Amino acid sequence: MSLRFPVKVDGRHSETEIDFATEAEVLRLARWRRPRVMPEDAVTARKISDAVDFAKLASNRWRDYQRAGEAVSSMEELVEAIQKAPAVELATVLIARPTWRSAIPTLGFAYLRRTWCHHLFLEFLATHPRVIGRKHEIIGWVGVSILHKIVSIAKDLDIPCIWGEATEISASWYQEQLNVVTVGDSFFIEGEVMQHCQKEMQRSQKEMLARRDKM
Amino acid sequence: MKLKSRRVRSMEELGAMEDKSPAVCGPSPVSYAARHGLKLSKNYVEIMRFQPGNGNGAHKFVPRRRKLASA
Repeated sequence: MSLRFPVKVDGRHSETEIDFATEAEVLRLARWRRPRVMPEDAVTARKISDAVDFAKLASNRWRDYQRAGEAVSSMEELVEAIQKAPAVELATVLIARPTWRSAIPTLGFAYLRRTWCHHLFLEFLATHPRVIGRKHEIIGWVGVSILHKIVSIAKDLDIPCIWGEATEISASWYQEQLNVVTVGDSFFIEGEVMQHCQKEMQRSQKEMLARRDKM
Repeated sequence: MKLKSRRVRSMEELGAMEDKSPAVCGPSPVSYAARHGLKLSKNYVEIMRFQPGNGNGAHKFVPRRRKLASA
């Protein structure tokens, strides 16, 4: 399973490391803050507010699962827990870390649940307020790379379905990213859509490795 | 869900949709918090009050930390 995924920083190719969040990293999500000066653009400001509250909610929920012994912080823990109890429900957080010197320690995160029937439920995915604000560094491709990471986990664990909720704002993005005809208030990555997403994830990995070879 | 096409796109193509990116995906924090009995942060609630079209007469988004001009 690859840890690194491509991102663009100020128009240049770079890489982010996307992995299971440690306990300390999950707790740090609760400390995401809105910038001192919010953008004038109301849509961007709303995205930032949502991201900050999503981060807090994810941190709280993960801790609830952790208290119940149903949160995992690594692929090994996830595999072990499933082997012990195949119908167990588990929560985990994926974190995108920059691989370059950056003032933003966490580029984005996804809060996921592995359900009792071995599906992945994407509760939410958000990028850091500073990534959304695009003030100091312009960082792109974080969302799609996190989505590719989730697809790669599904591939490694033979998980047949990733699903989640879509809102009025996110539905069109999922529709484009998943290359599907339509997305309503929910999306399901399974069957041919799952295969297609895995192929696109593999292509992005190949492109990233080819760029690395040229450097 | 049906695929639009089977063409495997490059990361450049996928990244080109960045402008459409919602940056946050999932239910709205309000419905999520309500569903799971969690509290929204005070700042979020305060900001939501200033969202347009919520019927309280405030149509302009006012950042929390912006100081209003004194009368």
